[in-house]
Amino acid sequence: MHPHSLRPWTEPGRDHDLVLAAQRGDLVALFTLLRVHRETLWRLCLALTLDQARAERLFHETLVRAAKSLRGVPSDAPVLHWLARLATHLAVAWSRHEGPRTPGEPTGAWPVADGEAPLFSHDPRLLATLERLPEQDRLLLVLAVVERLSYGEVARVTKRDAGEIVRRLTELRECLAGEVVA
Amino acid sequence: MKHLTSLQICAFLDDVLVGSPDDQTARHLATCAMCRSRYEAWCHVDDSLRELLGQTPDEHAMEQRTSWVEIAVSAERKGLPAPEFGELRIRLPVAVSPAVPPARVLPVATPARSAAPPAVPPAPAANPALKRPPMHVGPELYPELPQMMAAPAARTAPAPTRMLETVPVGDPSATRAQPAPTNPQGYARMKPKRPRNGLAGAMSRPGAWLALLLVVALGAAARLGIERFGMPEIKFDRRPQHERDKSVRKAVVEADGEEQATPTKRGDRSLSASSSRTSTAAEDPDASILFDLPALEPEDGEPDPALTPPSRLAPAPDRDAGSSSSTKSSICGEVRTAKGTAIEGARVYLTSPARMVRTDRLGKFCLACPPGTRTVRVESAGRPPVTRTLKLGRERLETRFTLDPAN
Repeated sequence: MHPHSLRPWTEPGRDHDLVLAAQRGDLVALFTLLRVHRETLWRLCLALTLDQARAERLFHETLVRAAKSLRGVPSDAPVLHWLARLATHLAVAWSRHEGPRTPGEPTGAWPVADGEAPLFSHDPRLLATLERLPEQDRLLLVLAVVERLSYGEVARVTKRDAGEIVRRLTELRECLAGEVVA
Repeated sequence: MKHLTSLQICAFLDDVLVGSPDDQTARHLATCAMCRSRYEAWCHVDDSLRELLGQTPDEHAMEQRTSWVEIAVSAERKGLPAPEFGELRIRLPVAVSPAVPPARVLPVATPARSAAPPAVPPAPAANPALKRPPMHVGPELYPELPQMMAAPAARTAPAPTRMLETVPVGDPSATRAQPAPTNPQGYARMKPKRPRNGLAGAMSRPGAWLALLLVVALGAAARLGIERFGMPEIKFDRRPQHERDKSVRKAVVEADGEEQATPTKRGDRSLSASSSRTSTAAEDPDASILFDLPALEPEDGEPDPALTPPSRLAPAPDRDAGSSSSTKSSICGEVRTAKGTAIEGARVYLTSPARMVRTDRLGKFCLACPPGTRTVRVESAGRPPVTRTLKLGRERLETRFTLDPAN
């Protein structure tokens, strides 16, 4: 099993105590809760924005919004699922407000190592295809492929039907493999 | 031969198939080159996605970014203006996050950016949509920021090199080697202070502080004047009327008990009975005692009360010859109507020193005051006030006030 599919996504009631304490106003519990999920949230933000600077803004804004509206979260609900939906909503709103990225716009803010060549030789066609996809589909890909969640878990996070998840994931893989046009 | 569907390949790729379907799919992929090529292409896409999207910045940069979130949340909880941080270039570690599986090399063209000299990587171009007007604000407007910024850094191990630096967005001249000189501490761009409403807004104005200072100064001056010039505080009996009646009755009963213990008659308490004035137990209860008036300290050089000549009007004998109250001059008397009915609760004012007592059930009062010319004013509801000036020596002066009903 992929390490990303471990406890933060699947263990029920994992954050129950922290959520209760944070809802009572405990800042330490709130910050602990945010620190627990920050790496996963960062990967989601990177996938949702496909841009380093945008990902940082989205990461920051998602955590701040989460801290403000944590009182409305059920204590037994998985916090990471809620964070993922919140980040997706923000990314969609920003994309509508700022407009889509132009195809020729360079993604120069993509992470690179310090003083080194890019860490991965990614396919520009793959990146261009990803940029044309809506944020919900990017979330689907990152949950199923990167985070290695099951279809049921992906359905719970995105609040969509599992069959729809499978169908859309198949279409996205065909599209990314170049078999069909996105 | 029937090929695998896209759904079957997708399910096999995600390890959803179990048992017989999984075995059948595996056997088909082993024999069908076309389906195997599709499957390998999809595997390649998945590996590329994991390589592309599964990376995590280094711990120090993530800690810094999280600390910014904590600063913003703390400021929001305290009602402070939310700091707006500049763009931060988070450098990735040399190795990809170990959580991501080793990537396969994609058989695609190498991006042009990899051809750049490795020693000096090109500065990433900023998105024009992210441009904001530069506003460099130091810690003078946000004094808690340096401490809060330093807190997460103290928790982590000291980094050998600085991983973070602030680069103004859209500024091509700013590179990693040349951080913004006006922003050396890595934080800037905060929104200006918003005007506050309510009490906080009122107290932020200098006029409110001046008014508060003036009130405090006046209070201190008044207190100093009282202590310096000996102005006594007027103590009013704020108890309800029935409680004051109880006190008066109790005092009268006690006085009667003392009177009965002596051979003096009850009628000696009358002002007209001159024989009773020599009795020590025949005096009415002192109003200053009943109404909790402050007693004056005897002045220096005060003569012995035994040697004091009797008052011209009515030198009432002291109730307790040995007590210090016998050495004080006082104005005592009674307040009655024109028909001779005692007025209870009439207010008797002494202008200097400022004092006030109320008459008791029998219409009597007693005010302790230093010798001299004193002005006494008697007021009662429904009757015009009466003011009288008395010359008081070192004796007990008794007088009578008659209040006529208002016309």
